Amino acid sequence: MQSKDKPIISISQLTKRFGSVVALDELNMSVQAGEVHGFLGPNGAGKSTTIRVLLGLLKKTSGEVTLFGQDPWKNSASLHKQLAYVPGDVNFWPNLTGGEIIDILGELRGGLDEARRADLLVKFELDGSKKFRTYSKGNRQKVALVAALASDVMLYILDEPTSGLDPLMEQVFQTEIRALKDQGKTVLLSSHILSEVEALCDRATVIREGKDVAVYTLAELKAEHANLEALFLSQYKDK
Amino acid sequence: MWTLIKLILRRDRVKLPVWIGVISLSLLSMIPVLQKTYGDQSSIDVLYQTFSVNPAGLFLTGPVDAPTFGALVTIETLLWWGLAIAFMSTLLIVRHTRHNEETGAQELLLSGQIRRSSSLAAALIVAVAANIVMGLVIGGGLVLIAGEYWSPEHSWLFGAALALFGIVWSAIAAAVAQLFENTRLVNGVLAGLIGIAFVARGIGDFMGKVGSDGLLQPAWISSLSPFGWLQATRPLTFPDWSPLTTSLAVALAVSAVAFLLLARRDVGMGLVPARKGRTRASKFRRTGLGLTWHLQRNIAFGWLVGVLAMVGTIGIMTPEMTNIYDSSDSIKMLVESLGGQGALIPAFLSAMLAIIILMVVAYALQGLGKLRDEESSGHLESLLATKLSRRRWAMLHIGTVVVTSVIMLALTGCVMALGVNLLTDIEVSVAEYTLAGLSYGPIVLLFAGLYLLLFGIVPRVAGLVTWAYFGVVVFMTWLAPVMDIDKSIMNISILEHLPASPAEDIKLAPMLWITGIALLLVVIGFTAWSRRNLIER
Repeated sequence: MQSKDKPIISISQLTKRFGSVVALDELNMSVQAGEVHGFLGPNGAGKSTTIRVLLGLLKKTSGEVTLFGQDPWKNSASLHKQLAYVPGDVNFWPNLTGGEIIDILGELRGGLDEARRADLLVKFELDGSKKFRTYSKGNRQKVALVAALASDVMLYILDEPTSGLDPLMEQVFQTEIRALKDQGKTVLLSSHILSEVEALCDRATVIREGKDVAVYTLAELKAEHANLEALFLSQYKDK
Repeated sequence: MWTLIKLILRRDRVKLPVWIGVISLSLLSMIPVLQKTYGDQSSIDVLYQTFSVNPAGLFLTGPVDAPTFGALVTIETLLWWGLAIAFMSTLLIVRHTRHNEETGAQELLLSGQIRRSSSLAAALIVAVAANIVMGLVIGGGLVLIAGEYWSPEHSWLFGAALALFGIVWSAIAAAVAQLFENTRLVNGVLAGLIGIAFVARGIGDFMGKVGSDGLLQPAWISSLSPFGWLQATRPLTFPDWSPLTTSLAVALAVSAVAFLLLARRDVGMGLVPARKGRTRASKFRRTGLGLTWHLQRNIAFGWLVGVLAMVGTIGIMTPEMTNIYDSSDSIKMLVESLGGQGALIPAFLSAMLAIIILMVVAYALQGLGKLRDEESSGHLESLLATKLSRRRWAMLHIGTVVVTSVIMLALTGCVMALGVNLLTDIEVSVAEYTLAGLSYGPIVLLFAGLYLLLFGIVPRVAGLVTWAYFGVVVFMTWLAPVMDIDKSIMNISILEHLPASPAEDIKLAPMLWITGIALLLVVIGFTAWSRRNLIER
């Protein structure tokens, strides 16, 4: 169990190179237990790369990364028992149904809450009997969302989870995340949707070209700028 | 429409020339090879007589129309290269029609100023053109190198017949692509149709009667099959251009049907609605093994059916083999070099066993290919974000493929022996043949090791390199004996190092060292896999 002041995710001077391309450049970020932490940045800034390093899918070039206090590269399989992931690009097996995929991922995460699963399928208006390849983009995302939200873990890593959803579903999503927060869970939310980050996040790390540019609490933001959009523009305009 | 054609050509700018080149050149290279093996007229005479009196060989190769070199080349090449051309054409059409719709590329194209039917038309035009080019290359090539055996008219008819054959299959593919939403299903149905067409022709020949002109008249069932029309042109013996009109008419009619079907459906849908699946995953499917089996299942069953079909066919042909092999020295030498010593039936069966083993290896390669598939498609990303570890995931797939391969190897030997015992009055030991099949296990392990090694170090080329080496082994097994290749080069093929059991005794030593190498490759591959980045697409 994490102690109150030890971060669930701690990233320090993380660098990731692919050949000569520097994807992450001495990135720093930390996510405390029980917070909803936003992860903001333009396309290609390195958000997904960072998440992949956290998940043990990519090997860091240099720097320190800890997840639940351990090395995510070495202990990925055991650490993953405590987290659920929604990928930015949802790709699942085309001939399995949404329901089957949710069950499979749930089992591989250590178990699904049946009541919660049924409840989420209703709330997100998802028909679990259709084969994955027949779903629209938004529905594909819902499969990944329901699979993640139906599991009972400590950390949720969500990579642009609502980019294909309509405003109604966006509200459903936000309600669910608030519920998780009330339960003391931790959420890392990578998102482009500023209103979503404003509505949900306690703090947000802004990343640009592989470097962390700023970390803001929402209170600080609201004090300094009218909204995050101005923040975005002010951070990015000097390119 | 011209833009669409250019798009297709650009996308397939490597694939098409390679397909056309490999098919044409390999066909043309058979001429000197066959000349070497069956050079003397006496072998050809024997072949002619044997085929005239026994129907079993007809099923596989079709009739020998005359005691000429042309007849020999026909039975050795026409149908087999036809098969390759059928696959080339159908895969091409499906790739540029149904596959486009499935990926969504079609939607993007159609938002431009083109008609819905233009894509289909463009795909058909390219397929027709490719087949025509290939027909010209084959025909022209034959004119150049086979001038001493037959006149140019024969050569051009050979090329034309194959070209129209491919065009017929392009039309059929165009129609089938309208029916189903799923590309894999379409390709599977087409492969099934090609198989059925081949078998129909086989049955027609098997049951045919020899007419007054001394030529085999196939039973009516052959006239329903494109393979039947192809063969009826008898290009290198008694050329007949009229079956080409049948092919052309059918191609036009089926294409028209394809366009009609296209007009009746929505883009992205098929005329046959997609089936719904289960709402909940079964207990088995929720486990790592269950998911793995779901992904491996179709590949396994498909190849199992193919392997058993081959074994069955060999069982039927065995008794007839004695006639052919007994009566020609050069053929006897061929069998001896493939591994037979002493009694010719075990020699023949052992040679056939080795060839079916290659089919099992092909299955293994396709099954192992799932490793890269799952990684590059992005499926693996979500899986590895759970408590499933990299090693366990890889082991599940490799284990499934290896176990299935071993079962296939044992079944091959067992069923072959049972078939021979039941269908002929020759008696062979089922246990001996089953063990013979299993003795090739190390080959499968070696290929698995090779694939895993590459998957761990250079995943993007894992499939390519293993299939390429497989191609080398196939080439060595099939052609090298007739081409007198130097032994040191032959040893590149791993199959060379195992005795052709059961005609030759099973040797433990090569089995052990091949397995040893395989295990080493597996260990290195595993370690590399555990240490590298996940590489998608």
